[in-house]
Amino acid sequence: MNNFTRYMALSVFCTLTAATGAMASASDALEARYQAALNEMVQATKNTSDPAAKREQLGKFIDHMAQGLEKAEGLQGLDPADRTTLETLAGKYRDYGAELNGTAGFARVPDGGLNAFAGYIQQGMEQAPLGGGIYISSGVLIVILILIIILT
Amino acid sequence: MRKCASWLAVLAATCGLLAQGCAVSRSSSGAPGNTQVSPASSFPTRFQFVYVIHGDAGYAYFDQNGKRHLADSEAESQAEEVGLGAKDAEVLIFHQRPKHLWGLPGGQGSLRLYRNGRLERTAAYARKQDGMQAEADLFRKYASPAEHRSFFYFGHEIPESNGIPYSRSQPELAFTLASFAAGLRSFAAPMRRDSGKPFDLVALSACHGGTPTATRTLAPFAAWLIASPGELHLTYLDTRALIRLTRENPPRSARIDAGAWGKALVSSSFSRLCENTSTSVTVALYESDRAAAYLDAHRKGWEITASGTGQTRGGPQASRDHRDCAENPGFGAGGLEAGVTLLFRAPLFGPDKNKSFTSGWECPGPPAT
Repeated sequence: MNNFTRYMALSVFCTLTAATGAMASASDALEARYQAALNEMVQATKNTSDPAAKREQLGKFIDHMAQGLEKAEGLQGLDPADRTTLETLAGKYRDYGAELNGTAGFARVPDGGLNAFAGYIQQGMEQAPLGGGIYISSGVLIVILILIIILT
Repeated sequence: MRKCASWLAVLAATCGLLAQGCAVSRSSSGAPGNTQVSPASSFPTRFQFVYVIHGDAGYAYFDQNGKRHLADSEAESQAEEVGLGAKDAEVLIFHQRPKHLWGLPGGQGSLRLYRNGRLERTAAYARKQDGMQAEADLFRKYASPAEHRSFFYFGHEIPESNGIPYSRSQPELAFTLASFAAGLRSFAAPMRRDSGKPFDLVALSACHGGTPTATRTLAPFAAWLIASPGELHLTYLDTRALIRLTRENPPRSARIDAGAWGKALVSSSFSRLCENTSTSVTVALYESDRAAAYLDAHRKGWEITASGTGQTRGGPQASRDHRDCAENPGFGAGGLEAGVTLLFRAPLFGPDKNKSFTSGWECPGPPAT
């Protein structure tokens, strides 16, 4: 599927979403896909035996999410609350990346802790929709989903 | 393949939206409908445990083996175990489910009522009012007078003010700390209690329930409160210790130590959460009168931050920081002196991994650096 088709599909989806204002089932579907992507990341980390490869895989996922969310912050017409959410999420992913690599004052995640660290990222995001201090709206979920599509 | 799954998610979401549109136009069922219940009896119940489980939002999570779980369904299963196993007890389980797509009949909530280990009633009901009014109406209709009552709420963080839709399929239904308290008041209406409080114990199995505002709001309803002044992963509190506690309990004439029961629930939940999660685990038991007295005497340390700009808690903005209230000038140390028993384990990673937590309450605002 080329980029044009992807963005057309997204536009149709967003138009429908905005037109109906009915977000429940859409949110569920989008959130399910995001959670599935996080689970894939955790399982891929667990199933990789070489610590360096594990770290590289995790780093790739984290960097992609951080950079994508940062870029999305600049989208025109974004709700201010959604923009703040994107900033917060991008900050979280930047922190994950810094801790993974031991930069920005974080102690580097040891090789033996990489599986647990992947789980930590996953659980932090599972708590996010309301309990984690971040309200992830459907608008933000759409952005995240697009990032996942581009990632995979 | 994964790209395919992603685009299928988009497609499914779009179809869901269309279906939702149909549901809005076709839904007209009255409350409570589709019931299989009969009028209340005067069953002399010793213990009564009321569960309200919110299931109309994102409650899915994956365990570390990659298995997907639905936290609200698991909370319901645990409550059913209590219903089947607790001795001399009445257990009412309200599960608030998403509104059906396509306007199918059947309602958005279910009630299961157990007495002495037997499922005695089931009902489906519609949720059309804010807060827990539909559940309270059914409770008043079918619950028995009870000697010892406890209330358990399972859900996401209860906002302190309006702003964030709480129920995904029915965002128009308001749910805030005030409407939760109003719901408790409705549940308390038929109370028969010597202590003046309708419940021995009220537990919030939700993130960020351990705030001064929440404690102060809920203290009139229960002798003991359980809440988390922090994050609480969707694996939730574990109340199955109630089975053992009701079975071990001395005869009817003896007094119940509700505080000891609360400690047992907090302790077993904390152990379970620590086993399953790498994020922070914070569970607290509050002796409500002592805690309320402490908070009243230290209002300067939390009231300003609680009301603040009106944007900090439950408001529409996206990110809300929290810190130990002990970091606020004028709050004091809290903790045991304030009637709080706190179990805390810092997250295994992240900027808070060396964090300590002392007061038992969290307040809005970024942690001190």
